[in-house]
Amino acid sequence: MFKCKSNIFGFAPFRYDRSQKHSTSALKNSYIFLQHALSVVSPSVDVFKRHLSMGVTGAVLSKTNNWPKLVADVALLQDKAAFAIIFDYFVPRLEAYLRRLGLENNIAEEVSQDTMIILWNKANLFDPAKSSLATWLYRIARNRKIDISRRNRVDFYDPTDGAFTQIADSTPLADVTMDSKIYEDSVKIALCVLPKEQSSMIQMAFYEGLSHNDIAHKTGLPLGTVKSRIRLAFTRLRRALEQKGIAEAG
Amino acid sequence: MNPLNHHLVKKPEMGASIDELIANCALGQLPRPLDVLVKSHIALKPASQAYFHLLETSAANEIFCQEASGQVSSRQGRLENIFASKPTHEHHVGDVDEVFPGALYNYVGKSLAEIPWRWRLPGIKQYKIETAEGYEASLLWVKPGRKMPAHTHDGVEATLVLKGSFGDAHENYERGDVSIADCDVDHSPKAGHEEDCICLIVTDGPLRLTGSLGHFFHKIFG
Repeated sequence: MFKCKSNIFGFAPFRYDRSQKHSTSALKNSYIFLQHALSVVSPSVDVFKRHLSMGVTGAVLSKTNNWPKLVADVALLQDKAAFAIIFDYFVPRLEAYLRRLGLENNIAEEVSQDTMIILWNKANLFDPAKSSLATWLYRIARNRKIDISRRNRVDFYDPTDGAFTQIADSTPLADVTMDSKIYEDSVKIALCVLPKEQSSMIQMAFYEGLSHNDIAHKTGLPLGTVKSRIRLAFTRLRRALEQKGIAEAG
Repeated sequence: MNPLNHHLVKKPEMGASIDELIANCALGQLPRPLDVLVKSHIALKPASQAYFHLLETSAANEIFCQEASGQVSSRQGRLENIFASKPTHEHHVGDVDEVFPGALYNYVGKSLAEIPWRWRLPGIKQYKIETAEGYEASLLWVKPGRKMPAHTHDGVEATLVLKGSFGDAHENYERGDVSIADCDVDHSPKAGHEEDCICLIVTDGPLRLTGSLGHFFHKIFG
């Protein structure tokens, strides 16, 4: 079962209880957004409450760190202490993820070390209006992972397709004025209103990165059923996002 | 196969939808030819780009919301290594070509004007970009109104329209649109009448053009 965690890079914890005082606008935004998103997809307040009880309020790991400020300090002042805070938070989690994907320890470490080297040297390319630091680092790590996995191949390898190219090439969304914090939760929220049959497929195929065969094995479903369910699930997910107007940037 | 890649590149299945391919791309799981096709599609379609961005963001949240387990070994040495690193050369990818999105231009290494096309069938030119990770990537240039060549393939075939359009009785595909077919689909659409149609085609296995003269040409050029 997936959890609808709130974004950790900007949200503070919030609760459904409106009598609680929320001190930041991010809190208010996230609450309003959730209410809006859920009411559009499913007008029932009961559904809303049920999904909140499933854990929409989620874990919050960033009570003190202002990630954009830390990155700015790295970019402008070469602030090593600020960098170390980012390193200590992101590196263990990134490497744990890469190991879950099946990478050897040394490869996982290489990918994350390269990612951190890019952060140190290219922190000025990070734009908090376009993505969270987590997304930005994820994108760099993903591209490094792809490059490193292809490094020893005899077939085509293009050294210009490195992480820097990808950063430079990641065109901003048409609607950059949209609160980037709102972006963080919308897939999980959309999943909450999909039938469980579909959301569990996305949990396995997307968040756990399992192959169709792995999923067939895990669930005992025939491969053909798994394929068609996954296909349907992603189509429904995208439709749910677009119905909310979240994925229609242009 | 490099064991390293076992979990990294997930072979897309026949009949995968573009929505699923975009998700695989967000995870970095696509073989390179499909990766480029999907990234080019995203660059041309803002709605797909937004969907892609949401998926990336959600994947990132999932990873970084996890509780940390264990300490990073040789932390100090790694930090010193990072602080001693030098910025490397930065590649700028702009809109260097009005037909090729940046990801495709980078991949092909040429602009449209520089493509060494080869005539394959009357009204049809092809440029084979590469075969990698079990997939073949080609550019196809089809004259206006020309019937698109039939091609045989065993698995997934994805076609991204870069210029012009093509369509059949059911659907019309324009710049940025992706048509995904598998071997069961008998699709032989026509290029639009208004202008030449240029497509990026990625096939699971070699692309074999089999128009009426296909076998003849295939013997000569194949």
